Amino acid sequence: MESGTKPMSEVCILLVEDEEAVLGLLATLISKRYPDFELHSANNGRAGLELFQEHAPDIVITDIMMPEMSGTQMVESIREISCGAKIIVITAGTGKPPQEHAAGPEIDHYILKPINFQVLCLAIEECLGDLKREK
Amino acid sequence: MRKGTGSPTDRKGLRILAEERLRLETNGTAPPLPAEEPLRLIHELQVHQIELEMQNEELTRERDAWQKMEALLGKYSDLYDLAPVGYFNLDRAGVIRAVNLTGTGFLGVVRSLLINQPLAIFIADDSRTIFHDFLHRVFTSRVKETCELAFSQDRLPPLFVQVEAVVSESGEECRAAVIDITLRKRAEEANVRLAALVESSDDAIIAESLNGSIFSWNSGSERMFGYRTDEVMGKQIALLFPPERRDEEERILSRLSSGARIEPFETVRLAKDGRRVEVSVTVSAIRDGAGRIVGASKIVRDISERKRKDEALHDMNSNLERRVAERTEELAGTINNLRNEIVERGKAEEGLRRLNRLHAVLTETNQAIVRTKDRDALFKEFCTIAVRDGSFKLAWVGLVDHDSGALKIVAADGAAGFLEEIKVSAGEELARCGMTEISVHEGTYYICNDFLNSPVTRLWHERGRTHGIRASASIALKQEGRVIGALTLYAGKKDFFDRYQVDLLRQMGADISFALDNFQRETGRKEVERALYEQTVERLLVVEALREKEQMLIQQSRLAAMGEMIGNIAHQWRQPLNLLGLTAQQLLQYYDLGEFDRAFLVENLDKEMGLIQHMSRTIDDFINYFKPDKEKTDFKVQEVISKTLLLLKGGLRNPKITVETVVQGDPSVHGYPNEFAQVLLNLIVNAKDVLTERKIKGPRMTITTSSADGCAVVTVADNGGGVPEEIIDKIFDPYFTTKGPQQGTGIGLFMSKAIIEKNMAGRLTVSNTADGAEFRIEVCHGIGD
Repeated sequence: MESGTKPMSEVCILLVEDEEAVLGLLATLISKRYPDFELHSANNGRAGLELFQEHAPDIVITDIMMPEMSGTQMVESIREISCGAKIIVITAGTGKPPQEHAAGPEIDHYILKPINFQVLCLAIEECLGDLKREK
Repeated sequence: MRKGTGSPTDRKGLRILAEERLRLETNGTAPPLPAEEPLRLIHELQVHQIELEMQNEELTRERDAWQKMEALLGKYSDLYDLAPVGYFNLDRAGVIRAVNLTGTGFLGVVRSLLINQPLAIFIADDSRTIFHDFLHRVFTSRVKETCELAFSQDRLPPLFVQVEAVVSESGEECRAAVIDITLRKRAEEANVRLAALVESSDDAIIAESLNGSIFSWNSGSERMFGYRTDEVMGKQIALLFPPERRDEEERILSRLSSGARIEPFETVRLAKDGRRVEVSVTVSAIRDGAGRIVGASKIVRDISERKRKDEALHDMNSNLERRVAERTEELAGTINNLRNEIVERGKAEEGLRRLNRLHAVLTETNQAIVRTKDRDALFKEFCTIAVRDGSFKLAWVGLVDHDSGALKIVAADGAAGFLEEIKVSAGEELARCGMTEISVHEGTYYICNDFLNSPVTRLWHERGRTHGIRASASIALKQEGRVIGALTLYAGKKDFFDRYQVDLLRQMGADISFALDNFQRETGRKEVERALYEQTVERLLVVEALREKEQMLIQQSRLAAMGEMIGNIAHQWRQPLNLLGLTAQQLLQYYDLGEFDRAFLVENLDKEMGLIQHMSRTIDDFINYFKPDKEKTDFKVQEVISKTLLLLKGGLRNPKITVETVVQGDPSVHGYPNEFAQVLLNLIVNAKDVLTERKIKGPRMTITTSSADGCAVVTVADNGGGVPEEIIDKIFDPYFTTKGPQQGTGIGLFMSKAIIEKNMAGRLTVSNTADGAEFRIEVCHGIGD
């Protein structure tokens, strides 16, 4: 559980998930793993977009199927504002290829449900590396 | 006894008589001395004594008279009872008041039962009217009346009686004397019958006395001799005899008198008009009551006719004999002629036999035509028949070869050697064969009746001689009007083929040609049949393919249903699985952070077990949901809707479809809840598919439950734009689908309709609303089972 690759003093993560129990667990796991990161969470796309506009997070982790505004719609809106933010989509494995979900906006990582937290962490690490290179 | 007043010997008279007698006895010496009392007393006593004596005398007299009367009465009673006449005293109504013993005997009933009975009940039915008329006559005329009646007696023949009756002095009764006349009646009847017999006889029946005078003459006699009865009665029978036979009568009568029997004899008699009548006579004696012969009866039969017939017969016989003799001579001549004819006929018959043989060949050939299946077999049969049944020396069939135009033997039978040689010279040689060539060329026939001398057959003269061939015939064979060959026959006799034979041969040629045409047609027919068969097989294959496709569709529908279910389970499980995964992964993280303790582990496991239980329940729900219903039950429609929506919850989330449930009543239905749920599932999934496929903005579904007129009504409406009008009539047909091949089977709505309408006697209909389709389920309470 090293976080030695943490280059910046502060990394901001936005977590969007409509299922409260999942949202809570994920938030706990992420904050325990990355205690220094700033973590914001929302339970629908619209709230997530608002938080994005407010905090401009480096990494957005979002579910796809959500009420009010779906993850796809939210990502589309985010991309209109920023193309620098890294986006990790958590998708239910409906058998459909992930590209279908990715029509349009660039998605950096797809994580299939049920979530393997190690895989999610790897994705986050990659995003952090990319962010570092891009700076 | 009878001594009262009115009697000549009354008391006063008696006194006078007694005094008179006393005076006579005392000779007048008894002086009346009135003064002297004793004397007067003596006188009185004497008178009294005499009085008593006189009374005694009278009594004795009366007693004697009584005794006489008694005896008389007994005599008359016997007379009355035993008289051969029955006596009846009848009143006006015919009721029996008295009857004697003979009378009771007539009726066969004892006297005590007869008295006061109406006599009529003993009278035979047909005599009763006579009796009543008679009784009436008796009481009106008051003189003696007579009638004849019959008494009916139980189980006995009727008793015929003559009744004489007269009214008695009182006028209230009549005395009837009844005499049994049954015997007389019988005799009368017999006489009547006999007389009728005699009268109706065709024979003359004549009775004569012994002196020869006629006393009976029947109508047969009148017809035979012409004399009326009044003309001959009392006349001598001799008037019927011809002069030369006058003595016959004397002989007859003398023989009869002697008691000898006279055999019937034939003689001649004279009729009134002088005509002689030939007769046969039967004579018998007439006897009186004492058995003395008093006359003769003769039965005379006219035998003139018989005599005439006998003579005619005799004439006929002699005539016949003469004619037979004549005829015999004629016959002898005829027989000679016949013998000559027979010889001629024999010659004709030989021709006929040949003809018959050929006819047999024709018949056999015709049967062979029916029997054989193809051309070559028919030709072989024909050759065999010609030799076997037609006694031809040789028969063969040749066909024109397509390429060379020559004749080729296809069948042959008979004189083998002749054929061998022909075979050697095959084709071209045969083409030169005179007669067969001619018949083929002409398309008819050719006859050679002198095989060994005809120029046409000169090439074969030698061979013909060797094989005993003397005549031959060749007939062309045709198929569909075209000459294809010929059949040729060889006979062992010169002039074998006459006009009739030729006719038959031509007939045979025509029959075989007809058969050939038939074979041709048969071949055509078989081809058509084969084509038909192939078509049928093809059609069967198509049907089979269709069935396979159908099976595939059903299979697909099953797979689709299963996929649908698995999809829903996946939806239901995805979330808890995700949670479960994350919860489990927490353990390691907490452990790594050193925050892992028992309390944390218990809390974590509780969460995990809760999730596992939830997932387990989800599977149970699905299993129960899809489990076939065993029997009908009452279920709440709303509960089934809720359960279905719960199962579909995950499936309706992407895209997010708003499902509104409107509850306007809480109806129950008697039926199969899971089948009902399946219908709901179909309708909801259909709506979802339409909404998804048409990418409807703000997809919405409204499920309404209500009760109307005792029926449960559930509508599933969407805002998907509705069912196109051109297919709205077909959407419940099996295999009708608007979806792509991967998605739809076309079975869902068909099955749904079947479930609602067949299993629950309800109705499933569809209609379009302003912005979509509305499916309507109606199931009426209580009708469900």
